[in-house]
Amino acid sequence: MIRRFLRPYQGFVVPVGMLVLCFIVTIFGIIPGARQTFALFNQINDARQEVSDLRAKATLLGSLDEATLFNQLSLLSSVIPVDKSVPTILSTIDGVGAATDTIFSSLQLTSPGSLATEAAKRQTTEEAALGSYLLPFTLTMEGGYQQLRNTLASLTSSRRLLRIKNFSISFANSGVGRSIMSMDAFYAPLPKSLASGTKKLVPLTQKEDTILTQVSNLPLLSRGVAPVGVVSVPHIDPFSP
Amino acid sequence: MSVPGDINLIKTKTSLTPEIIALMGQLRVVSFVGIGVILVVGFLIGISFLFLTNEQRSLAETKKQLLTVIAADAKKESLFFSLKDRIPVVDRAIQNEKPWGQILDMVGNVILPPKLISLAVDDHQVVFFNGKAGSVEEVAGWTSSIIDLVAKRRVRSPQLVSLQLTKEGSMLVSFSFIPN
Repeated sequence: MIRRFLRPYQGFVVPVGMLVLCFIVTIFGIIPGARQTFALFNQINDARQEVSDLRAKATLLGSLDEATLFNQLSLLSSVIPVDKSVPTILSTIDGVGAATDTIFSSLQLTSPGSLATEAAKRQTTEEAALGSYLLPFTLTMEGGYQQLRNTLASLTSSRRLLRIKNFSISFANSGVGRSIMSMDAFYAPLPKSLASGTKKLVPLTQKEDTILTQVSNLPLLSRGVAPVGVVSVPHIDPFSP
Repeated sequence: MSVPGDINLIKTKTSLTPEIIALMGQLRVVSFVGIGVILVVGFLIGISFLFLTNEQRSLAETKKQLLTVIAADAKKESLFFSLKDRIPVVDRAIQNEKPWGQILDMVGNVILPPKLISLAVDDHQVVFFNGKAGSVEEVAGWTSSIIDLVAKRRVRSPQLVSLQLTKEGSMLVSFSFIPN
């Protein structure tokens, strides 16, 4: 009876079956396939960008001269040494004294600590803002007004960067002044984590080039002891990909 | 074999309404279109997937080659990275320097030894200096020089910190200002 009733509708079986098949194929085949293809497309876009960056990096590295890089890094390390470099502080002060005809009567390192890098030392807020460590010291000197003026100017603009935090000068009746200065010497260890192979590398900007020129123009006033210009080549991270 | 006079009341064929027949036809068309679309879309997805897989393989190969080239320049990369890292440090340190020579020049414009007794600069860059004047006119001259520096916007917040008359008739004056 039912068979006899359904017989006229058997023409629906094939199209409905096909539509059901379409539905199943869409759900379990087309949609996951499209998703996977889209994800692959995104991955390839990222990979293309990465390859483009790597190509630019390889080209940049190819265009750089190792000796020039070494000299530039040495120059910067003579301005701000990689460690406390107390001898360069002394030689710079000595050189400034000779250049300005000022007599330095005492120098006192406030907290010299380790003579090595002390890279693990915790930075103060100010040091963190500056990006370098500060070695405080007190300097006492004597000279005429103009000599003291020249010394103050030279101390803060020599190849070994020193900073005057505060100072006082008292003048005797003869016009000779005695100055006590609280100063800081900058030092900054080389970075610990170096570039990995895949890390993007940007060429030196015009501003960075200007800074390098500015630094190379700073007068070299140290005497006896050469400024810390020799830097060891940083270690390459063996775990980088 | 039918005997004349027998009547068969059961219909040998069930007839469908024209609407259902039309619906059946449309459904058939839709199903074929659906199959067609799925085949085309599936084909496109498959082709795209194969193409992209190939592209991915090619990019991976290129990346490997580039990394080999870069690894050969690892020393240069380390030097360059250290250089890039150090330049802002040096720049910040240079920016942090104060032009002490110019500040002493400004004080020197106002008063010089032996009239200048002492000079001090504190951590906040406030400049204090003491002078010994022989007369009120001299003090007025120094004050006017400081006001002149303010007008030229070279210093700000000028203060007359103290003024003291000594037994000898001279005047001990103390000024302060903040250099711009």
